[in-house]
Amino acid sequence: MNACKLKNKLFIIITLVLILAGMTVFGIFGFNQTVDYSNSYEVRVSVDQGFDGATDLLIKETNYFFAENGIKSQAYAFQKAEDGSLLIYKFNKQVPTSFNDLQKYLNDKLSAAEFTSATAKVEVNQVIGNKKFDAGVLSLALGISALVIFVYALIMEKLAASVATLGSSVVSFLLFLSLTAILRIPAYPFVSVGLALSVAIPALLSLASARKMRLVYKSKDKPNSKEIAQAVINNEDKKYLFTLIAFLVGAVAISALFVPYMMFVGAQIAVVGISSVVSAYFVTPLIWSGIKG
Amino acid sequence: MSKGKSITLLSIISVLMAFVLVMTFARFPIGEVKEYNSLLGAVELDYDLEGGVAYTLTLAKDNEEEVGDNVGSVIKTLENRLSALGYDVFSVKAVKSVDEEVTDYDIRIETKNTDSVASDIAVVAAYGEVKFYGGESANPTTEILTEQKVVADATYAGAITNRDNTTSYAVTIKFTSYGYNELVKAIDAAESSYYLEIKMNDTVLLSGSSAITKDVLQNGTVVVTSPSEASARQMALQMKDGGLKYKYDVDEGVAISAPYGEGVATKCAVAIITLSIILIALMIIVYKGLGLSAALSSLLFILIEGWLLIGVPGIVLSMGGVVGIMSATVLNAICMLVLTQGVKNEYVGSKKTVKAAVKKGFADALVPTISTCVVAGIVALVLLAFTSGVVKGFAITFGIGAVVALVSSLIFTRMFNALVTPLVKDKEKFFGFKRVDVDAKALVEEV
Repeated sequence: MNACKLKNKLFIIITLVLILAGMTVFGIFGFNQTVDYSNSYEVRVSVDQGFDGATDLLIKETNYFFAENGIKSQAYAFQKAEDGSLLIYKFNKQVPTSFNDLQKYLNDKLSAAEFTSATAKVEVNQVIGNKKFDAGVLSLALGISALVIFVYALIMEKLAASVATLGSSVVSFLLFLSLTAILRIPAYPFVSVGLALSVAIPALLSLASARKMRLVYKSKDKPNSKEIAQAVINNEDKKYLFTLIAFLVGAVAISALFVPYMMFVGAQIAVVGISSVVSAYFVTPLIWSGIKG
Repeated sequence: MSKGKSITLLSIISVLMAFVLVMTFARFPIGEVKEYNSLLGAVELDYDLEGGVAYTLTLAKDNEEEVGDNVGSVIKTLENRLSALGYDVFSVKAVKSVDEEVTDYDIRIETKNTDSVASDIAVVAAYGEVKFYGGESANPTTEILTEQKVVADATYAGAITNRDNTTSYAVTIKFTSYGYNELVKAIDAAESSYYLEIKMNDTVLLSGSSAITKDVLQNGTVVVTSPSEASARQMALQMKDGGLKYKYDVDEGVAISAPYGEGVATKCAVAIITLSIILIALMIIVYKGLGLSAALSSLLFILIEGWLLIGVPGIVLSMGGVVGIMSATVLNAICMLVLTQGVKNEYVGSKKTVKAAVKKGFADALVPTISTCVVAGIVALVLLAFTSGVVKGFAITFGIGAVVALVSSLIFTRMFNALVTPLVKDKEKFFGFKRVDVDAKALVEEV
């Protein structure tokens, strides 16, 4: 049991440090806001006439130009019109002055590739977005969710289980927020989904474990709540490990497609998995046995 | 169940599942002209996965009021209006050239391409105020109700079936007490019938061709109908909010690719399938025979979740929905783990036979499995009620997934287990059970 105590102490210390550090980073810098949240810039490359192959050439040469000039943030977003006449590259920083040369560069390349009558035009625009992280509505929704889950757990599994479930969700929520802030994972557009999952997943894991603890506790004449809690959670470690692996696999599956936005989503799914599983695994026995005494 | 019965039933189910799997994921030509485009082709995708159309709003030359720093509030108004018209995923941005000579921002709206998108954007970007005209002849031209706010609220009230079996779409307009009292006064004062027409610039929102009576006003509420849902929603929006303070010209729009990149929907499908395959493989590796039953029901889970995306009306899949499906797949795996671990614990912690342990394990896992799905369902329902856009898309697919996961784990897993078990001779080996395993019960016994 000493090893368990040490594990629990380590968990508490690491979690507290992470949450404190995360909240500090969050308080100072806020979320890492990508192009769609904050004011940004875009480069629009358009061609006056559609030719087979001209669009592909423009994409290839524009990407080459970006690489040559050390411009990396273009990977954040790229859109094009269906007929290939317009390409939009989005940036979250001031576009370098070297963009002034892009139009000439592209037209030279079009001419060299026998698209002599096609003319490329490059416009650099300042963009104002209005999307804000709607913390009020989301907090209300998650608060109500947590309350309803608490009441459900209270009815089904009594007080200790319901408090353990709520505690797991709260710790997981804070951990997710902190890790997202510390790792500077771009928030938009899935931070709300991540926060919702970081409340739901630990709650459902914790509720099932706390039920088992209650049933075992009830079946004993002289129960020792701490040892029961630890034994049950140790017995369920495969379930927790499997859940963590499932989230990590999901994160890798979506990140491995190498679409920038989806890599942000993948990172958030991974953080959801870690914060949810770790919180439910450590917080449930701590709170449940704490209440049972 | 006898061996023969098991083999027959398993064969039928396997053939059916194989057929549904092929129909779900395969693409193949039918004859020389048509092509079967799989389930993926039938799922309605939102703008962020499929692309859509981009409209540019340019400040009109005869615009009178300067926009200046109010461009943020223009964007917010446009976003609220798009939401009111039922658009979940869209992008509204102000765009201005870095060239110092350009002073005004254009507004770019990107959203899903629908039948009514052009007219919706025109309504959203419309300029002007709602004006009321009243008089004792049809189509009156005398402006009335100019002193205070007239319409308190206007909402789209849904479809109604007319006596001739045609469908109309209703809008409920609630007048303010000022509007209602003034209208009643005018109706009372009229020698014959009284007509009311509501317009915004040249657009007639409520035709003044029929007389209005106190009965029609129903204590300040009027129900009017429109021939299409889109026009009814547009009418409700304009009645309630009027037009923009600034006059913008709207261009013809250009089709645009998905903001997450081309082919993103297919990539998402690959990610979901990869996740499912790995989870199914893990279940079989970790839980052996029971894992096989769980894996087969997980396969059914994926198929049902996919078909529900087509079958449930009004679902448009966005990136939020994709994350919802992936989360529901993990949720389904968690339910399977609760079941399989429960059965395993029951076996190693007692002297029961495999059959008895499976029966007791499934029975004991009933409440935790239901609780797991209820918790997920609660979060999905609350998010659905309070949020919009990406989060709402997530809530829909996650909520559907919670229901399907419940059915899948409680019914399908039992069913497959009942079918597979009679075919196995050494059940203990097949299920990977060993009584020497250390489990919670044993530990607690020691305690």
